[in-house]
Amino acid sequence: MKRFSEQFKKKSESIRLRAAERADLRDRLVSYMEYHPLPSGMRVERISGEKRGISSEPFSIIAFNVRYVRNAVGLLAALLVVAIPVVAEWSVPGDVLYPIKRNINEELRSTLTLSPYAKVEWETKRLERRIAEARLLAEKGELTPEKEAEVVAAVRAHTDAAQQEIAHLRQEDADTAAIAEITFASALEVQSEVLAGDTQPETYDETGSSVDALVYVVQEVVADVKEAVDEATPSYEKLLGEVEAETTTAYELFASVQSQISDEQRQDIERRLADIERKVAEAIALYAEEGSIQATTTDTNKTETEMDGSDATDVNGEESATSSSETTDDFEGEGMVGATATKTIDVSEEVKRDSQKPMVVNQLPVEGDPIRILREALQDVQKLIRFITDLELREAISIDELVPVTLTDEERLSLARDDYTVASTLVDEIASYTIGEEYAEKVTLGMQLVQEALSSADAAFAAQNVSAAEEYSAQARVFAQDLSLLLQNTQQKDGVTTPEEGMASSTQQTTVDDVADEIQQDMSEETDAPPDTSAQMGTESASTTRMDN
Amino acid sequence: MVGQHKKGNTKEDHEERFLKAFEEYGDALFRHAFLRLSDRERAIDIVHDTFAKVWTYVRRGHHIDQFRPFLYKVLNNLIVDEYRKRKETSLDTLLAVDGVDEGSFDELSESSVESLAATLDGKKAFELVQELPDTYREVVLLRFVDQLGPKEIAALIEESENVVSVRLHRGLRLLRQYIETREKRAKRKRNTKT
Repeated sequence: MKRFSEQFKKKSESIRLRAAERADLRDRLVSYMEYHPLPSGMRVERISGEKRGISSEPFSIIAFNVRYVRNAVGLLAALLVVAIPVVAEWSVPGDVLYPIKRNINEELRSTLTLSPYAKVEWETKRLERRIAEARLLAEKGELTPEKEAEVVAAVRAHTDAAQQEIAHLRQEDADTAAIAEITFASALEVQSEVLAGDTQPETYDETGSSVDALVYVVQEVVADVKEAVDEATPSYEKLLGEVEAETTTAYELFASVQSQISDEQRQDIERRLADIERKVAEAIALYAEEGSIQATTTDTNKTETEMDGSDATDVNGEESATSSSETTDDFEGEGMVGATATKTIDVSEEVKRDSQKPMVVNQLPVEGDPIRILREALQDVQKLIRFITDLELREAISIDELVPVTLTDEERLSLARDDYTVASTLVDEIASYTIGEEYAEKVTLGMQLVQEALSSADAAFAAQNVSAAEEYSAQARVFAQDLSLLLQNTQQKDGVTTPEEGMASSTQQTTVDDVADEIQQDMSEETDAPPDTSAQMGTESASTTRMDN
Repeated sequence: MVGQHKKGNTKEDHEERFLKAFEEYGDALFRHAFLRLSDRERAIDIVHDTFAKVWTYVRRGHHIDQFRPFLYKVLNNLIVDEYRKRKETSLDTLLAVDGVDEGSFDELSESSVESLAATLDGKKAFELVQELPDTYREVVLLRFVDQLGPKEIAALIEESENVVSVRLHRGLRLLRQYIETREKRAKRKRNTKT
């Protein structure tokens, strides 16, 4: 027995852990012990001899233990993964969780957003969130310059990111890129308006914190983006589709908020929706018209015609407004259709003129460009949607600031008629003055201009040409008012008072010579400057005069 | 019983005693596991699990006077679990074979096991121990490799001492049969060669 036992044992002793295995196992065990340390206040319970090492108790204890550890770890993980990001969503700059909101939550969503269009949307959203945070802080009076700088930097970063995505998108799908650009611009304009509303001095005087720098940056960005939007020319079909989709959304949203808005707001929104529909109808009509003209033009490249078509129509409109050239006569006689047709005939001439003054053309609303009208309609409807959906926005600004009313043709005509009436009354008045020798020449010249403008306006009214009627009436009024002012001052100098003298001289401390210079200037522009410029200046001075009066 | 001399009540004492137990019994436990499972990696894992479980038991505040039987108990349970997982040999059928059998008189005495063992060549028997069904291998290994007494083995595998003796006896008899058949085969081979 001894022999067998010894031999057997001896043989078995050849089986043992290798040094490396042993060291490895020991390491595993030690790290297990470190990971599961003994509880600090451990109380030792001596196991009795009977129980010693033979019960199966360890297993049940272990099961409980593992579950306990697992639960604790699970809870901690849930806290990290779910609770913190959710809480972080409500944080504002300066909060402990704010970096998590910006650097984890939002970055994660960015990463999960795959299509470039959705990315642009998300960047826009993030930008809106930054501005909303800044406004919230400003409201509480906690917007320190450091925090504002942070927000400004973030706004710039998000703008850059959005524009990068747009550029990226443009390589793949120019139409969608253009739409994205327009949408982005709409969102920015809304934010800009909101911020502008906030900077009104009485709002934040007592708290001392303001969003001035932010307003400046956002306005700068808006200017940049607007420029880009002017160049964004998505295809007509795509744009029309987008406008229609957005309009439908707007109607749906409008229907859903009916109960939450005041009657006044409801009327305002209805008016804007009607405006947008009118714009769309106008664009569709124009596009159909343009299409038929293009079909008849054989000698010009298609895209060139399209481009020139819009610009030239514009040029014709402006040109005829200030001079009595042949083009004007054509224009008056045949209305818009005639103007467009005229242009296609003398394309080369128009191109030549365009090259001399390319900047001016862009700044004026182009009446005949369906794409531009649709673009405006799209921006309006997008702003309107934001106005309808955002309660804070509704409280912060009025709808007039966001989407100004677009006048219908009838309204425009009646306003033009008002101008016309003012001008003709003034003409009658001027005729009743006795004019001194020194001004006789100027007055005669001025009267001539007024009469010309009035007769052009007459023709425009007769042809129901709204824009022309507006322009001529406004011009006639401006010239007549200038003349009247000049004469009033003359009369005053001569010691004769006129009914309007008191009001005019009290509001406007203008000397006779100033007014004379002004007229001189008007007349020299009339002859030298390109028609567009003078028309524009005419409208500008018209508006200033209105304000002054 | 023994081991009362060390009354480890501080944390350091517990850790020290635990690691000492590993140094002392690690090899033996591995050897046993390896001979039962014939898989080196698995044997190492099971030894690790054994110590991990025992450590958890210590953490729960239990004091272990003697590590050796406790470690063997845990190890044995893990090996049985492992067999159940493998299901290569059904433990139940093996148990059914001899579980009911009380065994004959000579199988029941410890001295008969010793006399039977005396007739066997230890080296040859060891080479063939892997061939034994696990029921027998378990007790043979515990008795002759781990040098546990019949009482200890009985406590460990939760059987009576008699059952342990019967299994030991039958295990050794099986080993003798294996040795004999192998020798016969070898002889036959030699005969056919010549």
